[in-house]
Amino acid sequence: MSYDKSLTTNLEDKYQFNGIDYVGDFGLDWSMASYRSLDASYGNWGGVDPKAEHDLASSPYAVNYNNPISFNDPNGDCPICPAIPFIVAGLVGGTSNVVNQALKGNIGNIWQGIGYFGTGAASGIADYLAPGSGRLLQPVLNKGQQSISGEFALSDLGSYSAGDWALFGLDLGTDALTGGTNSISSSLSTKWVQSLSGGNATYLVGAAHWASEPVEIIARKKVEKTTINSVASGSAANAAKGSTKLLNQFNSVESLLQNAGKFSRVKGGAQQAFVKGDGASIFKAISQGGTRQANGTILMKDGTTLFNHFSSKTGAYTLDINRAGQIFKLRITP
Amino acid sequence: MIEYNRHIKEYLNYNHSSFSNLIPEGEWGNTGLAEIYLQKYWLAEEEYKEKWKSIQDKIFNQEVGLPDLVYRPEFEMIALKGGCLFAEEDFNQLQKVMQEIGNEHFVVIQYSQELTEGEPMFRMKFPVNITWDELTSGNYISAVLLEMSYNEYYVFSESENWGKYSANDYEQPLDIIGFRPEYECVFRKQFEQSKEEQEEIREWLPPKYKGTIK
Repeated sequence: MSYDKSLTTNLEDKYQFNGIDYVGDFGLDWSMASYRSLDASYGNWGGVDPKAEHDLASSPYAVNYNNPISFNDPNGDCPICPAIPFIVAGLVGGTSNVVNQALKGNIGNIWQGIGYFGTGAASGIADYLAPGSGRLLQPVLNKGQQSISGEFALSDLGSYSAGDWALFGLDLGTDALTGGTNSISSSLSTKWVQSLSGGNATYLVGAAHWASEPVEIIARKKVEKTTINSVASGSAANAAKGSTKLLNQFNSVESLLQNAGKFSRVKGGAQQAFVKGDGASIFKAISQGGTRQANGTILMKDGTTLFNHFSSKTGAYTLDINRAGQIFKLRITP
Repeated sequence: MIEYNRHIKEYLNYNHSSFSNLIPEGEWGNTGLAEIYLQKYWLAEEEYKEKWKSIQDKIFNQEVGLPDLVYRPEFEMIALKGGCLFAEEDFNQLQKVMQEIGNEHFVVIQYSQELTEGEPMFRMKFPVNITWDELTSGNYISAVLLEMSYNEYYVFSESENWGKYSANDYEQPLDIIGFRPEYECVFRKQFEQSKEEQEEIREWLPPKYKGTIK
């Protein structure tokens, strides 16, 4: 299969650290994982580990046990979860090899046993990661998302430098190449994003090597766009992911006010409206670049002041906005 | 121990300083004015329990907020737009009613705030003839009392004939004024509403009120 480099585009890669939706507007440095958000500026999660009781020795705010090379926590809840399949594959492969060699009478002492276990474990992991297994490309699917993302291990790229590899996408419905976002960058982990254009097509996405002819495909994955759009919006698991769309819609005070429902003037001169969405995510998005003041409010560069609180009666997330003396009160409901 | 010490300290540096219409942010924090105001108008717990609590219970159902009915069954109601305890215009309207009825004092009792972080609550007593300027003279204390958009209050006088419930933190903020039937003319005259306003507010009312408020 040939590959035309000119067909690649340079869309912004929003899916970065561990494939998480990245928000870098206005100087923010946040990665919005499913369970909590990562503030890369100081390298900690912004919330407590939802499974903190499983590891009492670590700070509940610590990222990947402070070891981002060995651990991977794409959802913000379990740094060792992504490694579990590899551990299982290694254990199965290692144990299986030890048993086989023992039955053949090849193990005379413990060191030989350990050696066979190591060989078997490596083989098991290699099988698990074999090209074509699809595991090298694990799409993160969000409702309404127009792209998918995944990650390669640097070791999967063989002896070539990371920059020699490129991403491609193929719309199997039209047989047309779609734009991959960029070449794989040499970083600790090699993230990729594939934009999905067109209608409800089936896409093949993968990474290919520039230099080889024909192009060497190291991984591929079929993705049904209909699958992406059919993800239920009401489930708790997708509530945080749904906020991705809202973040795009409500990424400033101005956009929030424009997209809010009908405003009602209340006593005292304030205007109130209702907004559907995730209050915390919206507040994070619109407060980017602001400065927290001593009284707890956020002062934006244009003088707008923001404050968030919960209704003392219903618990509804509420945003107060003072924009040039105009007071807005927005109730944000899921 | 002075009952309002926490108010002086905790509202000195408070989020509402960025939203107040009464006190510009640069003038927020005059503890002298705040203390004088509280000395004059704070309702001591002892007096509240001895005199005012029983009056409150004759007007309002105990510890009930919207969407439940806050008034006892014999009271009629008018629903107005809420959002803060008093704006100058509606304070003047209520003051005229109180003067017509012959009240001397009215009290403001804050309804419990279950979901806030233990902010100190207000319990105030004012003379009916207080001017707007005096009512708002407590710098940041009067600003929080009168304007804070999530504070809810019971307001009533010694006459036991009327009450006002400031449901500022309901989905759509409402003021529900309750009165005994014999005072209907007085209240409806002062709190006259346009047809459009009535219809808009009617949409905001909890179901229990829709069937009760004319």
